Amino acid sequence: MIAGRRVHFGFPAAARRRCARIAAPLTLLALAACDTPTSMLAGAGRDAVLVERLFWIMLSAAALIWVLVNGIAFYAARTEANPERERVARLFVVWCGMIVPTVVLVALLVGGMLLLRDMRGPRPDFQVTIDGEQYWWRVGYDTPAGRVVTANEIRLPAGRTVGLALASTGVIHSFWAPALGGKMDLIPGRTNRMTLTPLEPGRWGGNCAEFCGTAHAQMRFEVEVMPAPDFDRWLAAEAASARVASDAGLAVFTSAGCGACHAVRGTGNAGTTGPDLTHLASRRTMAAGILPLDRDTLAAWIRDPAALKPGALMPAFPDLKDDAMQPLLDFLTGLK
Amino acid sequence: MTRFRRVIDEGAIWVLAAPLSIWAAHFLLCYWVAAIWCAKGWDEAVRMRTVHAGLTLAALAVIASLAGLARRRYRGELRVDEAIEGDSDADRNRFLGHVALMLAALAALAVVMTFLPTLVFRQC
Repeated sequence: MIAGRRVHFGFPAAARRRCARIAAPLTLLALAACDTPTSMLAGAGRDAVLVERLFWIMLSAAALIWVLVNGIAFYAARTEANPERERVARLFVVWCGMIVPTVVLVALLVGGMLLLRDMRGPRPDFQVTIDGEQYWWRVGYDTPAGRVVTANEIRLPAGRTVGLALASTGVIHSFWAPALGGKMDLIPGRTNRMTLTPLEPGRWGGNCAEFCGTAHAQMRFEVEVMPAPDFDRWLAAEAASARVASDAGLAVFTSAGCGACHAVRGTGNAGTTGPDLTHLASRRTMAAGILPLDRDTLAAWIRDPAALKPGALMPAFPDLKDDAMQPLLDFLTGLK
Repeated sequence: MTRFRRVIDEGAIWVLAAPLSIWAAHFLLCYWVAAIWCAKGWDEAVRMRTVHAGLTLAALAVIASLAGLARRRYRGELRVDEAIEGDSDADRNRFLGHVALMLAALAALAVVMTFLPTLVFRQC
């Protein structure tokens, strides 16, 4: 720097005001996103709490370092060169340029690894298998009486550790419920394992986090965390066979060939290509968490799935007449 | 060997590339060992951590000997702010030795950091 010359960092007051006007609403918008069901700052699971703690530590440290570095740069630009202080400057470079960053990096590395070890640590109380399909999630609960299969809505008990076995048949997907914990890929040909310990009852969102095809962004899921006794009751009900509310609807379901892809336990329909529909009506959403589950949406979906979810692999049934559709809807919405 | 004198003998520059090459080799070997040990289930017989520790000690020993070479043969000094401004052969050698020493320190640190995960995670 040329001795005696000062550098001005000041912006015109009008520009500063303009920046503030833009930045303030953006900051509020960003903060509002912290309280949604898919926010990693919601802290609804043990792992998410650990990650959140690391996030705040790193954010505070980064902010502190940013303020220090910019403060020193500001000071350096406003002060005049002084050859007599060169020794101090060299010491400063050695300490702040080499030793302190090395120590900070090693500490961050060790801290991050210890956190990762803690997240892998707990022994699961029970197992859930999750298979990534195009474009939905097959969920299986291992119970002493056998596997209970459902789709797209995962219910978990608060306070218990669940072991997730993640697999895929076609392409790579990634399972991520940010409010509950970390993310893990589903890779064809192998089973990846992770654990989740939900703490906060509520409905939390998740999404496929690895591009898997046309409807990747519509491959969502919901995790409902329930008090443990409620979960046990739900799982027992979910293991039961389907309640058939409309025999005429079941006849349509079977004759139209729906059972080639969908299972409805207790009705002889046992397809495994599409989601298990045994307790379809107990779910709040359909088409992998993107649509509300109601009569009209179901009818529109059956007539043309790709119109609601581009890339959906279920074939369309545009020719289903109303006298067949209505009993079919009675049957499907009766599958509690 | 007079033709390649500067490549492998007096004032040779390989001493600059060697420390970081040792780190790269150590990194690669640690990954291979971890992958093979865990895939084959050999961790029960010989702990993966023991193999990693052996590799790390060997890498650090080689880096230390390179640092010794840089000090003895090149008269390098481990002073961060050393200014070498002459243009004689001796200055050139001193510069090579100085840089090699700094790189050896960096490589030693990198080797230790590669070993750290094995210390934290005790199993495959």
